[in-house]
Amino acid sequence: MKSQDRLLHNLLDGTGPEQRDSEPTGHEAERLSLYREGLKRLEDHEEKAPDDFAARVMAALPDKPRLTWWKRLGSFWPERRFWPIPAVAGALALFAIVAGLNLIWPTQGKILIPVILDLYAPSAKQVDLVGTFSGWKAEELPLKGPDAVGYWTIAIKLAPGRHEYKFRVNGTRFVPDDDGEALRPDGFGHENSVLVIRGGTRQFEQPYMLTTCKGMVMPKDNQAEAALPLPKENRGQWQAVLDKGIAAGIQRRQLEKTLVRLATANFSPDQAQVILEPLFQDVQTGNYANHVLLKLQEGVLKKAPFDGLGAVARTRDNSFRKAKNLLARTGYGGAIETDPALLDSTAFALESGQDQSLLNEVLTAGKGKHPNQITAVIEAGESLHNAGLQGEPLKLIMKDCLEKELKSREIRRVLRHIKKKLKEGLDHKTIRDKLWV
Amino acid sequence: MHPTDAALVEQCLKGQKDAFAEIVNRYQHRVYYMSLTRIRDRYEAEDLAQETFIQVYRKLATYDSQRSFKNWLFCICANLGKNRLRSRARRREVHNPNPEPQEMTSQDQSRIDLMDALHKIPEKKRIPLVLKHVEGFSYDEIAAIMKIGISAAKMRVKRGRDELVRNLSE
Repeated sequence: MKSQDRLLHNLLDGTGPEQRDSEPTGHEAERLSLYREGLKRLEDHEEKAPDDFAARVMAALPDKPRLTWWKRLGSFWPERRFWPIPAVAGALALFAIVAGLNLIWPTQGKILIPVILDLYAPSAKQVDLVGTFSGWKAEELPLKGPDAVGYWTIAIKLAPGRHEYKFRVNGTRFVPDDDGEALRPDGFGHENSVLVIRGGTRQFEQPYMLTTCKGMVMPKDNQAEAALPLPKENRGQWQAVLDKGIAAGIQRRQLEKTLVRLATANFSPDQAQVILEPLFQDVQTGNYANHVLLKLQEGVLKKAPFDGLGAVARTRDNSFRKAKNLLARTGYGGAIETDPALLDSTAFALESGQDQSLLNEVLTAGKGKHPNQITAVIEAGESLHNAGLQGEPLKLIMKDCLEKELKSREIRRVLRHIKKKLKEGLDHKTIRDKLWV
Repeated sequence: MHPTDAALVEQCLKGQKDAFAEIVNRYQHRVYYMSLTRIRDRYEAEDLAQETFIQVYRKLATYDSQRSFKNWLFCICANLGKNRLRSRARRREVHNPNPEPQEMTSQDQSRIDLMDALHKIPEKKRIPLVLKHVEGFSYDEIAAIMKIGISAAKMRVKRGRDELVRNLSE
C-alpha cells in the first residue's frame, strides 16, 4: 500500500518513472484521477485582488525604501568621473585632523615610559627619589611604603634617555638602587644608579610596567619649570655670572636654577664663577652644559664642598670635550649635533674611566652603522666597565656586538649574561670565548 | 520586453516609485491568493497582502539580486501571515471566517467549497500545498520559504494533498 501511495505522489509530482509504463490500473487509477481532479481545481482556482488594490498599495507606500547604512553612506558617493572630489575631500579632512591633533598633543619628546622603582628599607621613616629627571631636587618624588615586606616603591613616568638617580633615606642618607647592576661613580666618592631607556624599552633589568596605570608620578619638567629669582644679596655679581653663561651659549633657565641653588648652599658669586669657569671658556658648550649643571645640582644636594664641585664640573666638561674630539676624529662630527645620545654615551663612558683608545677602536669599527646601535654598544661597554670587565675582552665584546648587529634587546641579554658570569668569578677571556658559542 | 524583477528593484532603489507599481501589478493576485490561503477573511487577507507589499518596499535595499525575487516576496508574505496569526492568537480575538453569503452563483459556491476544503487543512500543510500547486515552487524553494527541511516539505505537501482530496469528496 505504501509503495502504491509513493507511486501516486511521485506521479503527481511528475518525478515517477515513465508514466505510461507505470500508470496504475483499477482502484489506484480511480484514486489517481480523484487526486488529479482535486489538484486541478486548486490549480485552476483564481482569486483576484480587488480592482483598486494596486492603487491603494501605492498610496500607502512610504516615500523611499529604507536604505541600509552602507547604502546610505554609498549614496554620498557621486557616480563615475566625479568620484575624486569626495576622495580628495576625505583625504584632506583626515590630514587636517591628524595635523590638528599633532598640534594639540605633539608626540615628539612626550613619550613617557612607566617605571617602578623600589628600595628595601623596612626601618626607614621617609624615602624619596632624587635624580637627573627631577634636577636632583629633594622631597619632590616621595616613595610609598614600607609595605608588609619592607619595600618602598614609586611608579614614575620617564622620558627615553639616560637617567642617574638615588634614593634619599630619612632625608640624609643617599642609597643607590638595591639591585646594584647599573652603578657608576658619582664623582663625590659614592655611586649613582643608572637607568637607560631607549626607544620605549628599558636598558637594565628591573621590574617595570608597560601600561599607564593609576598613581603614576611624573617628574616636573625640569627644562620648562619657572626659574627662581636670583638672590637679592650680591645680585649684581650673580647677574654678571648669569650673563657670562648666556654669552657662552648656556640655556638661561637651567643656569639660573643652578646659580640659585649654589646661592642657597651658601656659595658666593665668585665661587660659582670659579666652579662654572670651564663652561664659560667657549661657546661650544651649549649642547652639553645641561649635564654639567645637573652634576652641580647633584653636588649641592649631596652637600659637596667647593673643591668637590669644581672638580666634578671640570671632569664632566673635560670628558665632553674629549668625547667631542674623539667623535670628530673618528668621523662622527655631524652626529654631535644630530644625535646627542651618541655624544652623551661617549662622554659618560670616558668620565667613568673607560680607555679612550678602546672607544676609538669601537667607533672606527662602527663606521656605517646606525648611531643608535653604536650608542647602545657604548652604554653597554660602560656598564660592563663599571661591573669590572676591562681591557681586551671588553673591547672584543663591544666590537662583536657591533659586527653581529645586535639590537638593543639582544645587547641587554649579552650584558646580563656577562654580568652573571663575572659574579660567578669567571675569567674575562673565558667569558668572551664562550659568549658566542 | 518586460523588465526583470531585479531591474525593477534597482529602479525603485534609484527613486523611481513607478517601477514598484509594476511589481505590485505583476504579483498582486498571487500575493492576495496566498494571503487568502493563510487567512480566510477576505478583508484581513487583503490587509495582509497590502502589508506584504509595503514591507517589501521598505526592505527593498536588503534584497539580494542573486536570489529569486518571487521567493523573497513569498517568504515575507509567509512570515507576516505567521506573525499575524500568532498575534491574533495572543489577543484571543473571536474570528468570523465566513461572512454570511448573499445570492451566491454556482461559481461562487464552488469557490467557497474549495476554500472550505483548503481551510480545513492545518496551516502547516496548507501553505506548502498552495506553494507547490498554485505557485509551482520546487520542494527546495518551499523548504527555504517555510524554513523547514526538504523531506519535511515533501511530507507536508503529500499530506496536504491527501486531506484536500478527502475534504473535497466529503
